[in-house]
Amino acid sequence: MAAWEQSLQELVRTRGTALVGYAYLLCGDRREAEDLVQDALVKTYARGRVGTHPDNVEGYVRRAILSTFLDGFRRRKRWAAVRHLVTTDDAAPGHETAVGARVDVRAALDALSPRERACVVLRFYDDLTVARIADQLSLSEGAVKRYLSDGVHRMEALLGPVVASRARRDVHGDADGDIDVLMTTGRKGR
Amino acid sequence: MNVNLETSLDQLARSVHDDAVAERMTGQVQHMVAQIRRRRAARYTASGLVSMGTVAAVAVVGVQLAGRNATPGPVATQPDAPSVAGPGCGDAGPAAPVADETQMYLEGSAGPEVVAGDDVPVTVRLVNGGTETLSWASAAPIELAVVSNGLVVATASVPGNSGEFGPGDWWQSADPVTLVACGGDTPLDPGEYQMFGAVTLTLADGPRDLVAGPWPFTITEAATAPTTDPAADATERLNAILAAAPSVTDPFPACGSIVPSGDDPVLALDLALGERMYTPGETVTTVATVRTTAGRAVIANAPTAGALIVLTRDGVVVGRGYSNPGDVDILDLAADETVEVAATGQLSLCSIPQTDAAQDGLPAGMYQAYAVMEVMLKEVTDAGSGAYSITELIAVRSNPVDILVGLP
Repeated sequence: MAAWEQSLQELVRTRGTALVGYAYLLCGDRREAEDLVQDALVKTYARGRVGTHPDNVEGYVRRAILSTFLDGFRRRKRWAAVRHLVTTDDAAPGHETAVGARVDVRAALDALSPRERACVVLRFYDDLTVARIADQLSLSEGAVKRYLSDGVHRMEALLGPVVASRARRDVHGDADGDIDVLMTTGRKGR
Repeated sequence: MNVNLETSLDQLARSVHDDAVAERMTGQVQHMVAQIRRRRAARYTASGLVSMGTVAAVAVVGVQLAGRNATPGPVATQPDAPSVAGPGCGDAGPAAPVADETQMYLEGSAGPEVVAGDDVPVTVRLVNGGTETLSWASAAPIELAVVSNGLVVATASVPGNSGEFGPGDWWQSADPVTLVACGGDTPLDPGEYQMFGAVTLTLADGPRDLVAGPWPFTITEAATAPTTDPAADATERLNAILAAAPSVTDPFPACGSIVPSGDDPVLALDLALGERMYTPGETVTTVATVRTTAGRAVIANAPTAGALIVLTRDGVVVGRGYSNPGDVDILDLAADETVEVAATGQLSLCSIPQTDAAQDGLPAGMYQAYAVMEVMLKEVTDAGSGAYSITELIAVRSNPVDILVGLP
């Protein structure tokens, strides 16, 4: 078995679910998330230039997932409209409140534009700084802040007040002082 | 109640946990990647050219006299070696370096056998075998030195580029290199040679010298003029493909595969070609139309490169060029929808075993051309019934179109 095949198997075995979860946050559809991951894996491993260490490759795959999601969103809209006809939400059962919140958050994410959604996921799930999000999306930092601000406000309109511990920490000046424009709740002095 | 965004997103991502996801994805991805890599390798073999990335190479490392019969292999960094101008004609050959694959290293190969006067295939590869990402900005050629009897008898270079290398990343240049004997403009004489490659990378922590080799190769006497009739030779190879077809296991449209019949493909292509005489080796570029069949609606992943035109004779694929599936795009077709895709083909014989490498020559005569596009089905909605999800790679093909190939 070639080195890339071993790497692929290892990556999918150990990180496959996490990658699908990441893609799911971006696209909101379980099946499409798997499609995104598959496409990203093919793109990444076909290029043969990314090495074979899973930790190293995962970064490339995540980036490919992100770019594929953003590039292909318009074309997939119709697909997304019919997806519910053939797939089921196989979310694991859990505490009723948690499940309810999850559904609400998913609905709130669905209300965002692709770039707003990508910025929110990268910031609050991937824990990337605004600068790194800007780099990943090839946007200016100002644009990222705007997307984040608009996205969070839109989610709050549906969910009510949201809090994000990392954002609060950032507000106090360590990693990302710019996040203070993002949260209308869960912070001081506003 | 406040919603914790981070926790909620984390829970949402975990909600899709599925133990079967690895098995479901690995097979399909492995198949597609293997196919792409195989075809790229075939293209490389066919053309002798590869350009696979970017690196930077700067100056040339000093070379020192060495044993000429050292075993070829990966080569090592020589951090303490002084950087000097490249190995010059008449200089002693470089020392056989000690491999160190835990850092950035250089490896390569030459030949192994070429006819006098022909370019020598040379592959050089920079590999980051370490654990840190390395980058350098300046680009300069990787210098090559050809050694015979302990002395440099020819020099050449291959271009490099700048870039960033993560752990395990590599960059490769594979090009035929023209070698001219030192002190003149004549090709190297037939004989046994060794090649060395050298480059100095300017990294953040200072220059790093890499030397690789020896890569032995042989230059043989020029071949005698062919005595066979090219047309007869092409006919012989065509017949060989037809004879081998029953034992070909690769699926359509592989070389020697049989055109399927009696199936009910959910997608079809419509192909029309101009009625004229085509020339062997000609590249045909046109447009094919993708449509669904039997009133179905289909969603699939299709290559952005479009369809490949293959030639068949007696229902067997005998001619095709290289097809790079590359990136894929969403193909989303309702029952009454069509979409046009590029269709390209090379009117050349293919080869068995399957390499996708087009061979020279194609006997004159009538062939049947098909446009073929490999797509990954994702969802199919049969007329009058519900949609179902599917993950299946299929070769969508067109109607056969007669194509007359004449003498060049």
